[in-house]
Amino acid sequence: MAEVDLYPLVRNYLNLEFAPSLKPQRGVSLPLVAITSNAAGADAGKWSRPDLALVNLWRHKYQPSFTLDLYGFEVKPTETCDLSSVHETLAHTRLVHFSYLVWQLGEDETESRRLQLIRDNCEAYEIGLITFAKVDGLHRFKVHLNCNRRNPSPSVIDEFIETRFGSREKDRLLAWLERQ
Amino acid sequence: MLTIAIANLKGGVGKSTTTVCLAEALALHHRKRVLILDLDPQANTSFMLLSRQGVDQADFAGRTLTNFLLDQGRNTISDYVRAGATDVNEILANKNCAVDILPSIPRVWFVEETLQEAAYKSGNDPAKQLVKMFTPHLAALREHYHLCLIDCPPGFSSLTRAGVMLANAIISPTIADPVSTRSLADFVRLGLPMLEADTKPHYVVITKYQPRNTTEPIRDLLRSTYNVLEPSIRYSTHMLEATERIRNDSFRTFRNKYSSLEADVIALAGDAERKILRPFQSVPTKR
Repeated sequence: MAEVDLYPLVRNYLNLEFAPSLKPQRGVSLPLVAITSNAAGADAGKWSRPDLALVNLWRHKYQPSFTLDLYGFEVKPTETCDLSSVHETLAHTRLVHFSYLVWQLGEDETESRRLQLIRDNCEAYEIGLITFAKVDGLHRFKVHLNCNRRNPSPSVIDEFIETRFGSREKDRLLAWLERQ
Repeated sequence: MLTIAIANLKGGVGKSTTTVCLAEALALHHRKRVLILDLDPQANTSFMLLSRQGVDQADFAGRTLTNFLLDQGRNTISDYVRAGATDVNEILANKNCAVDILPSIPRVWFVEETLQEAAYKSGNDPAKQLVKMFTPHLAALREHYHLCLIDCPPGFSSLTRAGVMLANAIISPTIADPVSTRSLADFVRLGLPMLEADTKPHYVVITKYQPRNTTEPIRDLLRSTYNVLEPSIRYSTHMLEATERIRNDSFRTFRNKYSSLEADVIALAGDAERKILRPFQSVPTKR
């Protein structure tokens, strides 16, 4: 499967499983997912374009202000994932708060040496790792490692959202910020 | 992914309640990932699963059927789906099962009107246009869900017709009384053939059942005429409490939720799994 064909699958996972897991139990959240691999940007080079991004605006029930978290996801099909994929994912941490490598595992690769190598490197660089594979007809995703929060400057985050998210998502974010 | 429409001509026969019970019991007791499409502008299923507050939040976040229809299906449907749409703790805690919903809101009425008007003006059938809009989106979710339950509005609106056309099988909840039984007969005799759905597997769930001299012969008639899923769901005020969610941050266990009806709800889901889901899984070409 080509990398671009995996984006809708990963987008569904982010909408249906990853984003809901970020919601505080008693608070509110507005997660928005976009495919950003071809989006414009101040710096749109190969290593500065996460394939998908998720912006999550959230607040605990008894907390006065919102937090905005930006997640980047680098998607790799079975055969093309290697150490440079880890480095590419690491490079995105200058643009987003959390950066994840999302790798489609091949058959019999759930315990492979390659998975161990990728995992060890993700751990060393403190970036996230998610794998997925087909089990009983459904794609099952597994979060192996969560990413430690990075702190790009707010202007970098603003620039990312402004240039890489669609007007629909941006309007929703602004409407929420104005209403809450 | 198997798609089942919960549909009947008559309102008030328990379509939304059946949808919620089946979704939660199949998720929890059969480890199914279930997506509910609430096509009913009354939005009962959405209110039952998300609470009024939760539906309001989904509306404000632009995550409802209205938004999906207004956006003409340009974005992926998962952008509009509210995941974790249940107050049952055990389902929320288990990654192998899920109850998610594309929620409805009453404004769907007006959006449906607008779509119908545009379709008729251009000489198209609005139901077929809705089917065309939904089909690729549901196909894209086939590797995320085992089952999609479509809660259809009563009557023969465009949304109901689309729901039945999208489905692989149909479940019609009914009450064992003369009016509901006649309405069910009309739905099966006239409605399903009109929608070219008379060859699709069709099942009946008897709801709000009160054993009496007048209802027992009707139940026998229903059992001898249709494929009835068992057991009948007894009339109980507890079901009203079970399907009401006061707040979107209130949670309970499956046992607390269904209380005296728990065994019946589990058995009904078991019958649906045996009669509908299992045969479907053994026919790979229909997936």
